[in-house]
Amino acid sequence: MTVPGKATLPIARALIIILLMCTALFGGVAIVVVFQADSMVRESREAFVTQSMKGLGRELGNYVLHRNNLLKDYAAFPIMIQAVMQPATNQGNIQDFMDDLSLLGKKAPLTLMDFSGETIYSTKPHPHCHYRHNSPSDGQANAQPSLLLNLSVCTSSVDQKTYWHIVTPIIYQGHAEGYLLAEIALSDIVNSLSLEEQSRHHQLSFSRGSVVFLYLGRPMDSPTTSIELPKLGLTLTYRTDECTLRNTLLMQVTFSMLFTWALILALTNRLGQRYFIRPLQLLSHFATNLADGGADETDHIGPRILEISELEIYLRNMAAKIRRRESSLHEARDQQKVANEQLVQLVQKITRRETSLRQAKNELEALNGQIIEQQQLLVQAEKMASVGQLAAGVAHEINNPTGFVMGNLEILVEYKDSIQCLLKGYEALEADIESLGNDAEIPDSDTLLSTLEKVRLIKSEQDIAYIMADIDTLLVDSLLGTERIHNIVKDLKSFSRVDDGDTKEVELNEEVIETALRLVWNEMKYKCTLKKSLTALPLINCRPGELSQVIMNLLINACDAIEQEGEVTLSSYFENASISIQVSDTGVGISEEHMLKLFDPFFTTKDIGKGTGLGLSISHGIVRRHGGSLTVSSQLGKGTTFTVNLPIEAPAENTQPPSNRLSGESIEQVK
Amino acid sequence: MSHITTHRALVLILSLWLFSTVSMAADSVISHSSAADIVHLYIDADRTGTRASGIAIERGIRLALHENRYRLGGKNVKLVIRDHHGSSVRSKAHLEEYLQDDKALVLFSGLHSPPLLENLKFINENKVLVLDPWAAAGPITRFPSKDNWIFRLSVDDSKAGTVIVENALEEGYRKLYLLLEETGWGKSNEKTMKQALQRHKLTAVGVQWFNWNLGKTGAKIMLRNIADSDADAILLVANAPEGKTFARAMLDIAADLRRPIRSHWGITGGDFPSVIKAEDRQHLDLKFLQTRFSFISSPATPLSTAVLDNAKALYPETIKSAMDIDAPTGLIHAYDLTRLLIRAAEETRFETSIKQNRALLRASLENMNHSVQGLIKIYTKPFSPFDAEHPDAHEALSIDDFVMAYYGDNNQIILDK
Repeated sequence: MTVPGKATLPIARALIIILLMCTALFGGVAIVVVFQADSMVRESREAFVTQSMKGLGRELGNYVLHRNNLLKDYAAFPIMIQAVMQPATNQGNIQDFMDDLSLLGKKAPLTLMDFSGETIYSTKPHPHCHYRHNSPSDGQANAQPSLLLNLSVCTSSVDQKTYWHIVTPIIYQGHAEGYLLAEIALSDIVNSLSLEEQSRHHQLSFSRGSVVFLYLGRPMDSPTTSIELPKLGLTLTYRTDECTLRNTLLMQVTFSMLFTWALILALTNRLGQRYFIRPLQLLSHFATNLADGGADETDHIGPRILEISELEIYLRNMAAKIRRRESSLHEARDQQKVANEQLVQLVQKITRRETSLRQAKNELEALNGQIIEQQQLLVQAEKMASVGQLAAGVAHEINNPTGFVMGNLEILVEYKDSIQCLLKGYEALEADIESLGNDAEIPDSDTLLSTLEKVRLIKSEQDIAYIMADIDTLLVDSLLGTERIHNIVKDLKSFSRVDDGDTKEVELNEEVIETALRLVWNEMKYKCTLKKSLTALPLINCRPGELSQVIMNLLINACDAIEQEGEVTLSSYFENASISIQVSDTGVGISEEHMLKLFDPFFTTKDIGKGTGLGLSISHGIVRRHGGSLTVSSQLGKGTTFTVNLPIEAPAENTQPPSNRLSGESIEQVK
Repeated sequence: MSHITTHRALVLILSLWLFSTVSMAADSVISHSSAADIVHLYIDADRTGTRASGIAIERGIRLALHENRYRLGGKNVKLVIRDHHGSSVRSKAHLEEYLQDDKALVLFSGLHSPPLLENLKFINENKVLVLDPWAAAGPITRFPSKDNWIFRLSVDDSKAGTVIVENALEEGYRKLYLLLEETGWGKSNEKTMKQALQRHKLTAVGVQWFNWNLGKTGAKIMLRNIADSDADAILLVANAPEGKTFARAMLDIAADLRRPIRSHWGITGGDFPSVIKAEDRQHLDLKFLQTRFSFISSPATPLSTAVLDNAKALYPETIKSAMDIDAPTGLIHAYDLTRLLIRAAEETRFETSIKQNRALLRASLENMNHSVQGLIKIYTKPFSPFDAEHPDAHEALSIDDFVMAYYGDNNQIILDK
């Protein structure tokens, strides 16, 4: 069975893939290691080569220096000086002497020269190279002949071989009187120092300036390294054959890695077959058999791998369990059939119940409609009850201005009589003045004077000056009185009006708090002293009529809580983006037990017929609809504080018509 | 009264003209020659190993030339000084230089016989006129040919050996051991010394040869061998370097092995007395050959006083008294020899060719008409033409002119008796 969407692999191939990945990883690591090793090997090899080259340089230095020292010893023999001073006389002696000389056990051609470089005697009949020493003509310049090694090279024209010349001066009285030259074949140096062997992996060159003393090895491209050989005055320059060595190393490493890999592959294949694949195939066969429901006929496989062996045991156990479960499944299937039938019956029952429930719901909705209507009626009734409660106060309030306006009007009627009397006086004066024109009846001045005197008398009698001043006062007072009446009527109208449901931006202090206060104040003023602390408030979107009702309700409650005389504090303030209105009293307070039922509808502590028990409940509903809260704190015997908190931004849901919401609220409360 | 004829007048005028022309020509020739004629006097001596001898020779020559205002036979003299270090090869190079130089008249040799001996044939065949104030080997002046070009005013080994042997015998030594350098010089001494002993019916107890540059150890071995051979005195033929080596070796070996040394004069050529100091010399019995004149021990003569005064005047820094003259024989011989040369040049009529002039001067030397006063003696006909019958023809000194001498406490040379 295959898992859909994923290719499956046989173990053999999976193993090979794992092996390949391991190989790739191993190869990567191996490459890094090989490169590291290569650079380390190269560094250490470079150091080794440098050391060995230095060693070679030392060896060559010793080789030459030993011979040079020996030559110096020979040069110090008296016969040598005698021969260079008197060559003719000493020819025989020096020949015999020099013929016997050897350089460290090896015969090397020796040549004795005079101070000018002319050969006096050479142990080689025909020296390969002629050596002419630069002899200074001035004896003084030669006063301190160089004690350093004098080494030169020449290539013979006879046998085309290269020879090294070691030359040592023959000193007498501090002067070089001649020179002793040893000729060493290059091949001899190469053999003695095994340079051929060295040159197999290196290219060697000993040189002084442009003169090459020795060159060995094949041409190479690798960079050169130079070592100075100060004793010899030579420079050893060498190149190392890095390329071949590295290639060989890399080849060997690669080959051995490939071989190892192939071996591992073969071994893995074989062992994989034996330990994994074969047992797994057998198990798979066993499982297929099991799946097909065949009998457990397979022999014991007995794999060598612990996990596979366990797997076999599990499989066998599982086979046994499956068989047991199969039989129990059959039983279960029968039981299920019965259960299904019962279920069908149950569903039918439920359908029936649903139908009856739907009917009940419809009935409930109808009932609900009725309740809402009653609720609205109740609210209006409560409002009217409040109005009734207020009516006496309001009537008194209207009566007061009406009284003094009436009084004023009566006085004004009297003033009108006085003014009419004065006017009559003036009319008489007018008639007298008009009669002056008639020649017949010319009143005398006494008559005019008496008439004027009468007018003046009327004026003083009637106190016209006072009347004229008082008329203004009376008229202003009367106008004020009528305005007060007008305002009361307006407040009353605004309170009794059912809000049309629209909100508007109002200033709470004036349009809500003051209005409510004006309406209830007449009721309160005989019992309570008012402390008012209204601070400037921002405009708020609300239904002012409803809020006035709340404040009025709270004020009436506060007043009712005070038995004889007390103090009511009304304050408003703006804090934390909400407006708070507090109404506190110094009344009897609310007991714990009453506190719990305070906002319940129809709960009242007032006398029967005095309160509906709906005031706080409705107020609470109004404030909630404005998104605010109505809280209370009270201490029995000390007083109670109600606080209305209103957020500046009223919640959107509160734009619903109030009646519905109120009724909804009421229903909830009823429940 | 005779009349002067036209012919006579003409002859007179002509002869007057001729005379004036000739005299003018002669004048011009003379003045030209005096201005242009410079002759080169070569000194080819060892100024290194035995430096004192080379310097002494130069000073002797200069003292004599100074007296004659550096004139030689009417020619101005310029000294050309070369140092051969004792090497025959170097000396040969200088001889060749002399031959290349057409102003080179005479070559003074210096200490060391070998350079002369080795180049003897070359010198005589190429007619190099050599004056020898020091080198003592017998064959030097005895080149077997009529063309003998070397003249010597110095010790002659053919007599030196005799003088040394005679003096040693006179001192009472009978068992003489010859210690000789292995050169032509040593060999010529071996011959004369053996001959001198022969004349007394004696033979040398032994002969030991040594090379130049020998070390002290080698020298000690030789001296022990000599002591072992029962010799009672050593006759030494050596130069200063080897002389010093033997002196040091002698001081190093046990006192009872030390033997008196009677030396050829070669040891006086260098700095022997300043190296082997007076206190060391007290432990050595050392005498050596000298010619019979010493500024110190010989009675002063007007000439010797004048020469010493001149020497002090010319070399005020180094020569303040007679004691300060190192290797005095070099100075004395060179001085006397230069005086002979000046005299001979005066007796020579020089020609234009330098080769001719050398020959003419050689002839004058062999035939000097006047005696010459020298420091050692008055030289009357010091040289004569050489041939086999006259082996001493080119020797200015005779056996009577040689004595033995020793170093005084101030390093001065004191003649014995």
